[in-house]
Amino acid sequence: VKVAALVLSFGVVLSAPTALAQGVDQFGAYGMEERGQVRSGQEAAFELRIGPYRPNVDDKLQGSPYQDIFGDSQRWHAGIEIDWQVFRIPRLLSLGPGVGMAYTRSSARAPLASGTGLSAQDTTLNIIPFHLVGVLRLDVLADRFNVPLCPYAKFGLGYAMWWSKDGEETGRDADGIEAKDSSYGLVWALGVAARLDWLDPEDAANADSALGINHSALFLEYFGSDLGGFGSSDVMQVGTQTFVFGLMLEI
Amino acid sequence: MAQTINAPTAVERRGERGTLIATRINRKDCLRNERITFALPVTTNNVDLSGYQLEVWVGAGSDCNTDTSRMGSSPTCWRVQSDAAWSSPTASVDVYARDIIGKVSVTAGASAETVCTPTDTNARGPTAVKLHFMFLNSAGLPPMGHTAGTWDAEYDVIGPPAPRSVRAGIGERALVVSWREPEGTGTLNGYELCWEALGAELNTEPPDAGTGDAGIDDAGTDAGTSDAGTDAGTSDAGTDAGTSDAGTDAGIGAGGAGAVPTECTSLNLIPGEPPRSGTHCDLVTGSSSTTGEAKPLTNGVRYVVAVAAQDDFQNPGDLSALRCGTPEPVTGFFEAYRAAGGGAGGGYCAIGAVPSRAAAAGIVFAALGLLLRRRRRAARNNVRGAA
Repeated sequence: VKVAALVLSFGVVLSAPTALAQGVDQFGAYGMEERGQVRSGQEAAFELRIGPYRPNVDDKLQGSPYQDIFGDSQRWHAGIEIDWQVFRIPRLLSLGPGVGMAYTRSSARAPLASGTGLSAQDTTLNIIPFHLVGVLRLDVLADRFNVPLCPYAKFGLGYAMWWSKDGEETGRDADGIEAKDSSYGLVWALGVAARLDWLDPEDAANADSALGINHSALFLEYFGSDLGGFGSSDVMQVGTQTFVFGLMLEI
Repeated sequence: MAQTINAPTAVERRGERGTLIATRINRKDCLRNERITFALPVTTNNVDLSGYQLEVWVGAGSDCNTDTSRMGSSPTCWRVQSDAAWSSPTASVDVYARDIIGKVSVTAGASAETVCTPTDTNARGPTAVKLHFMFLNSAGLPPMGHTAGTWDAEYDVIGPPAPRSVRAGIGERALVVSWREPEGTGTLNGYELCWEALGAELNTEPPDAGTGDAGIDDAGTDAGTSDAGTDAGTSDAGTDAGTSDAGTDAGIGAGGAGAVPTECTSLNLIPGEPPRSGTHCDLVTGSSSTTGEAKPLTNGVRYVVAVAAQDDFQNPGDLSALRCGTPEPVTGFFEAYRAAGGGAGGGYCAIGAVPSRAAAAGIVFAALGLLLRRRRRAARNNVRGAA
């Protein structure tokens, strides 16, 4: 009961309407702290992204080369994404295309072909995944109901360039085929962004007036990609299912 | 009216300079006694200079314009060129690298080996010198109001100490070598990774094999994960200098059963000495680099490797302790993938560090551009609002 009361009172305080004049003076922005206040035009979102990345290379193979070589240790990726919010209904949603890229690398000591242990030479798999997606972001919770969460969804196409090296050289198989190629397929994501302007509306308003940053947020999304070439046997499956988190700026 | 020799307008170095800047003189320049040619603007102002000759003096931190620096029992400047041919308005003067170093560091007339390969390692590091181009008469005095031209340079003929904790592990057609940077060095240009074939590996297990290492001896037994200090003759650099026993190397390079030495020694790679001329060395650039691959090697052939640091004068330092290993095939990820039935590979992937960075930079710049545009728009709106 106490917790419920606390949450209720917290929500009442947060949802209390404010009526402030707005503008900018020599001390910064004022009067624009109200939630959902349209402060300046909003056209795009920029994301800094990071998260685990374990490519599903071993899917549909007769063995598990990725697992055998690189083991179970966690691999990470980092990337960026830019969304153009072409269609936007203020205080409700935005919809538009987004493009992103990332980088991930798996590395391990290559086993000796004789099977007697590991060599001193690293073997690596490097992947640069790109994606072109449609992005739907719902602002309504944050802008109308004072819940600083903005769920979103993404769906589109993915493309990845990958290459593998043995030591300092590009890897080759026994037939001399070079270890570099590209993969493609579908990409999707579901996530939620927690707006940071909710923590300090005044600073958020200043960031808007000074830098044009409408909102800043931390986000967490479940990201999936199937980059197996829509089932092609000649395409390495470098897609993954993972969680991604990071910082998002709407400008 | 003053007679003036201005600073050189051109300095011609005849040695291979590479990335070495023109005002630095290294051991290689010293050994080949590089000729350095200066083009000097000369202004005589119609003063009769008969009886004077154009000379070049060198000092390390001394002003050679003072008579006492050039004469007397304790001079601090030394002549490196006398009676250079000249004619106004330009003089062309040759000075030899070994003269510059020899006059400053040792007594005149010393041998090239003495000058260019000093044994006093306390002298390691650059020495700043200044050349003075001046008119002097037979008494060693300049004319009244004479202004000498000068050229500042540095020399360093001693390479850095040997890298430490050298390890060598097995790779495919390569030995993977790692090391720690030497102690007490200045700025390094990189490392020279030197190697030499010892001969074909025995088909049978070598004497020290049979420990589950598949015949991989020496440093390669643990894929570089432990120190390979158990090799015969591979004690720390410096202690082995000059102690290599030729007798132990009998049969090196001969190949075949019974011809492969078990010792890790070399006639050409001597720990504690700089790499000898003709030794195969690859430069691993970057002072922070502490790994490199000796390649391309032949699988099944035993090699000896050593590492020497190279200072920013491009002087190779002393070779490290020797490490030996025999390259052998490894199974890279892609080979494993193909062996498991994977069909990808060999396709187009215009990838490398530069394109990916360029693409990332492009997106970042696009974002920043958008941000800047938004900022300007916000500023305009604010101005309108204020108005």
